[in-house]
Amino acid sequence: MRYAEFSNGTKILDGENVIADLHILFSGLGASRIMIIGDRELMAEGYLDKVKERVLAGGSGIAVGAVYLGEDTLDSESALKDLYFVYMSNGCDGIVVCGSGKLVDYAKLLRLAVSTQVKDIKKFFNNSSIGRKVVDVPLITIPSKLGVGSECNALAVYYDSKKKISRNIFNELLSPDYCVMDGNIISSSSKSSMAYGVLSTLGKAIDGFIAVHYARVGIAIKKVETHAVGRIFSKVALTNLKVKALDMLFSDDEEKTVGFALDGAYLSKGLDSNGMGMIYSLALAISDVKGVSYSRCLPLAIKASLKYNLRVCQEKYSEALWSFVGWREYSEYPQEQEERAKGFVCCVEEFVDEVIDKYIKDYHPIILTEDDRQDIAVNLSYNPHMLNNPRYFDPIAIKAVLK
Amino acid sequence: MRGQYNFESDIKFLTGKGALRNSTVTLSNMGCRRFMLICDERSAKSGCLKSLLRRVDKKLNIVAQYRKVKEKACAEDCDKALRLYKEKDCDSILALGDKSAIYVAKAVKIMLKDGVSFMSNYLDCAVNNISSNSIPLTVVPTYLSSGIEASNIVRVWNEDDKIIQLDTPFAQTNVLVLDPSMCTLIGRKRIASTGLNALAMAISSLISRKKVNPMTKVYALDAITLTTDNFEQCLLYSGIRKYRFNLAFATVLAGCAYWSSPNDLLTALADLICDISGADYRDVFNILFAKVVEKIDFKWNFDTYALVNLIGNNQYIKVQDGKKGGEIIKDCVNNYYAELKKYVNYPLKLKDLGIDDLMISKIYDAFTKDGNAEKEDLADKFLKDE
Repeated sequence: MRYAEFSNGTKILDGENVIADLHILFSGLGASRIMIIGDRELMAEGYLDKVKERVLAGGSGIAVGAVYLGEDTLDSESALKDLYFVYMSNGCDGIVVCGSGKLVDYAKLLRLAVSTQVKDIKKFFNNSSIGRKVVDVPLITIPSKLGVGSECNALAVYYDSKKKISRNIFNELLSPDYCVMDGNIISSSSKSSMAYGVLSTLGKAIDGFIAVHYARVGIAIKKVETHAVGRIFSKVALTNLKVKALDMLFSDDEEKTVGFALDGAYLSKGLDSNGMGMIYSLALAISDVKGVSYSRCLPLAIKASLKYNLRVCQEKYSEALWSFVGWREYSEYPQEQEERAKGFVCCVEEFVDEVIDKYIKDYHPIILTEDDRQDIAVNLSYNPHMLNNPRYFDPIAIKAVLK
Repeated sequence: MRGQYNFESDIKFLTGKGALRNSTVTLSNMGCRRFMLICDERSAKSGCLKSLLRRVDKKLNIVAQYRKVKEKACAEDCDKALRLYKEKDCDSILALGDKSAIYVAKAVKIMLKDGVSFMSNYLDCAVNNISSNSIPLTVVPTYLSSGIEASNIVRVWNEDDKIIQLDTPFAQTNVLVLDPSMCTLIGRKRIASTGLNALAMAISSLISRKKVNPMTKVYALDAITLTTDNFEQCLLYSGIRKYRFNLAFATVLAGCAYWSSPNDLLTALADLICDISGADYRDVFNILFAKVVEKIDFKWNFDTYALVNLIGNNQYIKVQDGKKGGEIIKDCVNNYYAELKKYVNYPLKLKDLGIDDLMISKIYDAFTKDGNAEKEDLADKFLKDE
């Protein structure tokens, strides 16, 4: 009967020619001058022109104020300064972002800065500064890749270039109004990008399945399980994930790709920030320390965190095995919880290896030095989502599993 | 593409101890300043209203109260409540109670959006699909909830006994507050019908022929887990509030799952039976659902193995190699019903609800009068052997 709140306002739309109603969505949300954010790749493919055409369609009186082409690799501070300047100087009052990862995060942070009239995003590093909405800034996201995740949650990552650490900002205002899943654009991405998307969804699902949070139990503060609704989102995503992912990667079927992308999007929507745990934090930390993309760090992060948590998560891993491999295979495992938990770890590791071997041709394993491991442990201590991990933070054990 | 956009975010759930007190902050942040409370007579008399007012009155500005909603939601109630809303210059609605109060509150919300003064006008015209003007609707279910709070359906009776039924996304609940203090004591039969109803709605949504999104699956699974974990205890120890609350929460979630992809024909048949016989909707739906499990041989286009994987380690699921997924689900439901029989007698046939042969033939004729083959098939399967 513990008090709990559950909501995420982002509405997810999918279907054929799904971007056709963009102008209706914006007029319903009360926007009249839209800023389109995208990347050069999408511009070259002509997708941004299509988006522009749909925003202007129907004589609804909606104008396009600016088209901003950003890059995933930009430094957060300078990217946000640019975006803020372009948004304000062109008198925009709504945003549509097409892209992946950081670009979506920048659009969300821009929305937060404009709607709260707080230009310095660093003020939101502290979770207690909630920010009061002053202006309404409608935001629609169109993810261009599989497993982006940020297209429908209330979380954004800001790279603090001084400390060289990615900081997480959680705020309800970061949650977009609509997430439009366009099958054409998602299924046109490369096989390796889709394979990374699968790993990203798997990582989130495992994180969410075992996530805990702190609560007052009697006079002590203890880690307790998160709200049941959040855990079931992970269960739904984990169920048949292996079969669905391999089928999708093998078949090139747009419908299957969108189906998988939808599962991932609903998972992000359901978990929001509470489900982010060690896999997410560890991948982010490795990415910061080694200067490689977040997706590339996922295989290492998944394997390391599974080992790190094995002892404390036996019951949950055993339960996750049923969802991951299906009841038929599950019934072949020994009855002992420990064996089933180990079975789950093995299955996930095998699955990760299979995806890498078959679909990520240019994958190079990440080699970590002793200094890197030390830096990663320090970096992890800054990430608030490590607190959602069921095992207490133990830097020595973390360094050990990264070997 | 999708025809209607209501530009409202999904339902916000506030659940658990202190949900009512905490809701005042959320509602204030949403810009709600002048509330109108709509409540049914039963909840008003049972002390739920007093309890609610004690918790929120000082913080929520309730400027108008309409407490006269009867067990059946009437168009007259909707019109009166609307007039009161306008007189007192309210800006948001708070509904407290069971089905009928929620229907009236939803009806007022739609009428305000469309600028309609009389509910009977909807007998001749449809809901306006393009407005983005909305009034925040907060629902506080009492007893064990009915799951209807999550639906987009409004069903009210006009003076001439005609039913006005609207199904529109504009009837959406914005905030759902489920507080243990509202889960008052009720009889074991009612607990049984509510729990079975939650299970029926959850499984129906999972085996729905319609395309369901993962959100639906999540709600359904959560409802099944909560029901299996708390139903028996709730029957055995009905005085313990924790179990009643968990069962009410399961019903709310099952409602969210079911009403996002309702089985239209089954719902229509259940509604018709209730209208003609006056039986309780939950009981009728449970009986029909048991027939679905018994008679439909799971040849629908869903993967029953995937469903077993999804439902997972449920104590009622007995996985046996060589059995088909559909058979396992059937066994699971049958086990559940058999287990419950130990504790309470619940109706298994329509006759147990006092529906005689004459009434059944009347229901059959009314249901199949438009010559729809699917309806006839359903009526044959469900009503003939009664």
